Amino acid sequence: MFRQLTHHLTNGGAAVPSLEILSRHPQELVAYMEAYWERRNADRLEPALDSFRLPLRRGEVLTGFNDATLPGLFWDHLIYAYMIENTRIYEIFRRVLHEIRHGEKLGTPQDTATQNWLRSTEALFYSDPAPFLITNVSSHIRSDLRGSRRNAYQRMFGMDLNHGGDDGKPYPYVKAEAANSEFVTTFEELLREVWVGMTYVGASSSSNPTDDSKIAELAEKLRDMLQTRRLGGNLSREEFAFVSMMSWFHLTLEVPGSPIVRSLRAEAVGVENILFKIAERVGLPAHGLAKSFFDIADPISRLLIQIETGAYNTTAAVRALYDKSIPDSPEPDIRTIITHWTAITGHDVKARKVSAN
Amino acid sequence: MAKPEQTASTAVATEAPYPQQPDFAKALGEAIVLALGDANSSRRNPPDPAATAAARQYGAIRRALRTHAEPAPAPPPTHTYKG
Repeated sequence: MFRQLTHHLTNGGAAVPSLEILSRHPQELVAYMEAYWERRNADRLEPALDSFRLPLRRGEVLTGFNDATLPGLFWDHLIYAYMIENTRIYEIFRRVLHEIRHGEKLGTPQDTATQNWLRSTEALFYSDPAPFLITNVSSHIRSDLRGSRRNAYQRMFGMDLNHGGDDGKPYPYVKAEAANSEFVTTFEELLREVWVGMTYVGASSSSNPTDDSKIAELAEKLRDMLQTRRLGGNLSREEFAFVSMMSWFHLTLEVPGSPIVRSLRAEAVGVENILFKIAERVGLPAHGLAKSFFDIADPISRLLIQIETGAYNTTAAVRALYDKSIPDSPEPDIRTIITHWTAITGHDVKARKVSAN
Repeated sequence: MAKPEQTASTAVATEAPYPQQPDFAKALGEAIVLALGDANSSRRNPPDPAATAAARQYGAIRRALRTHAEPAPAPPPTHTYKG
């Protein structure tokens, strides 16, 4: 959400640079998040959440949102937050704040922009937010935000994060009985079938084993399981809050001249290398495949958003998934997903299934 | 007398004294694959409008989620070139 924000904000007619967003006042950032939720795309306007609107349309008063972005804004799919958090970015920045707030092991903040970033990050993502904010998903009922995120990932994808607590032990959290435990196998099956389609889409002198009806069936199965978890607006606020949180940290690493990166002297080429440098400074290793997690996050988010619309539930539509000659085809994104999914899971979805005769 | 070397064909005959019945499931599977291949040969035709619409929807999602690193699409030209 924060990574898209620059396209929706104006300041006297000019776009607001992302670097500037990193130094904004925390109250302003909260207002952006509220306004973003308020202007969410019609696909996300669950009737059950209609009453979750801003009182007196406070979002318009507080922010400079460009109305040209209406009628609706998108934020990333929950899978984006899952992939980014798997790099261990949240825990690493937690250590950064811990060290800076308790001593000078990491040096002192270099400038005002760094101080602003520290203040906003601590206030927005490591504190209990005001209970009436849309992004507040913690309470006496669910006091552990890290556990709440794992709970959401388990319900939606049947997956836990790849790292435990700081002590290396599995992180305790509430596991739901109603969870999409078949997500991974179904998604991998879909990727495998789409890969067959990519391989044979240009074939002219061989039989073509592409099975469009199976692809459509798998896409529908994925749509059904993901939408079931969202019935009645379930998990929408959680998704928005967690995606916003992870996009803040992602943006922090991505933006050239990011104040905290400069302050920590962690400049490098590529977000994963910046994260590795910061991780080294605080003594908490990032995931070795962080680059794959960063690279897969955007395309897999887009693909799942579209699958949830039911766009590929018909045989006639699935060719778009593997035929890159169709304008705007997701084919290049799916190649990226297949490459990095294979790297991070160790499951080679390009390999044909072997069945016993 | 030296025994003649066993060939592949004699080995099969030894192991299967009766003529093997055609493997119905295997034959059916091959027929389906061939039929599917024939059906898929129509892919060389233009894509179905449903596929084009799905790709267009994907493009719209991609543009809606473009990040700060991706510039906004160029605005349409406001004047025509007069040579």
